[in-house]
Amino acid sequence: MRSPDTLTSPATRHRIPPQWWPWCSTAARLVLAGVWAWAGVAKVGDPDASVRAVRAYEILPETFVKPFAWGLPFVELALAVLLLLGLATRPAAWVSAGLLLVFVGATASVWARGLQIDCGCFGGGGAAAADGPRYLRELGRDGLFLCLAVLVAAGAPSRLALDNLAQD
Amino acid sequence: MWWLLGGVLVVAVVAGFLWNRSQSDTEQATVTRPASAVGPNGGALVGDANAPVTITEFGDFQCPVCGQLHQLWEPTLEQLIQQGKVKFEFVGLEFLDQGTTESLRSAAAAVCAADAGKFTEYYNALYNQQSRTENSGFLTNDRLQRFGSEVGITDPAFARCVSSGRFSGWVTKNTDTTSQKGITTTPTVLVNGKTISNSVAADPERLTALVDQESS
Repeated sequence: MRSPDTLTSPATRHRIPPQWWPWCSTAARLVLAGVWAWAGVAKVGDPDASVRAVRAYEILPETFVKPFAWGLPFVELALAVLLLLGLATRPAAWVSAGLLLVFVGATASVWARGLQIDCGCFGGGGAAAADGPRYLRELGRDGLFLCLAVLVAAGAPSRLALDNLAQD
Repeated sequence: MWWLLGGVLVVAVVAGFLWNRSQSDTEQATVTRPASAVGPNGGALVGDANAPVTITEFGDFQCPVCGQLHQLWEPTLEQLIQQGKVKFEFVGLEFLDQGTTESLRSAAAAVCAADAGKFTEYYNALYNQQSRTENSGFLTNDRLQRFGSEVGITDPAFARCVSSGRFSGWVTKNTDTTSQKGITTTPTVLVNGKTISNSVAADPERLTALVDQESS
């Protein structure tokens, strides 16, 4: 049994002072908002490329390809706006995490099936780069964004958010 | 707050679908069918229509690997076509356009050249004088028209065809149809409908052997 003096304080355990956590959450929220904004804007400019990118995964039946490909960029933009404003922050972060999990699963599925595509995450029509697909990098990147989403969803309430006004 | 998020997301999906549909070239394009010979995949067709073997290239004039393949297989392909063993279909795609229209306009210009009776010469010119970088602004309408002059197209209808994008809708439709077939990369080469690797296509001996095997 550990003696009381060997127990670490919460501050020591987290290494980051507790008062910093809301600011970490704020930074993660703003980064995530930027990611969604970038992804949405890149896709909105070329709806036909978005359709080809979704089709390239060979997961959705053709009937659902266009609704998904054309709805997704606006969902990403909506999440970007909500996260930027800090409105419905936790639900938006949970939906972000869910969406990122879907992306991770789809990319892993494509890799496992040996398909040669680009994820189309930030525009493009799904055509793999000349030097081949980059699944590991895409999974790592989405994993990082997923961690940010979970931090915002489950971590300390973030600062500079409209949610805070509603609570006051 | 979940109700707010749900409402926003529903509006986003509906608005996104309607807006993107209004912007989609596939949905809005006017499709003009070329007068020249067209293969089963909508591409320009070269060679004897009764040749026993069909080689199909799904290509993009901006695609560097397509350009490399062209350098490697062009003499063999030309010989096989001349021998009457092969008819060749080129399906020009707009896979590499990223906020630009260079792939689209060059593929459409190649259809204009096919209607002017100079497809092969124009196709060779586009690959032989390919830019080193994609979406760089290299393939302007002026340059596409100049390539036509260089290969001996004198009919002013060609320049009008290029500048008006007469076959843009045709290329967009072919690109969408190709994507529905599960083809995501260029070049993709088919021999009698079966995909072959680019290494086989680029090897004169293996390509000739495959054509002989298919025609026997």
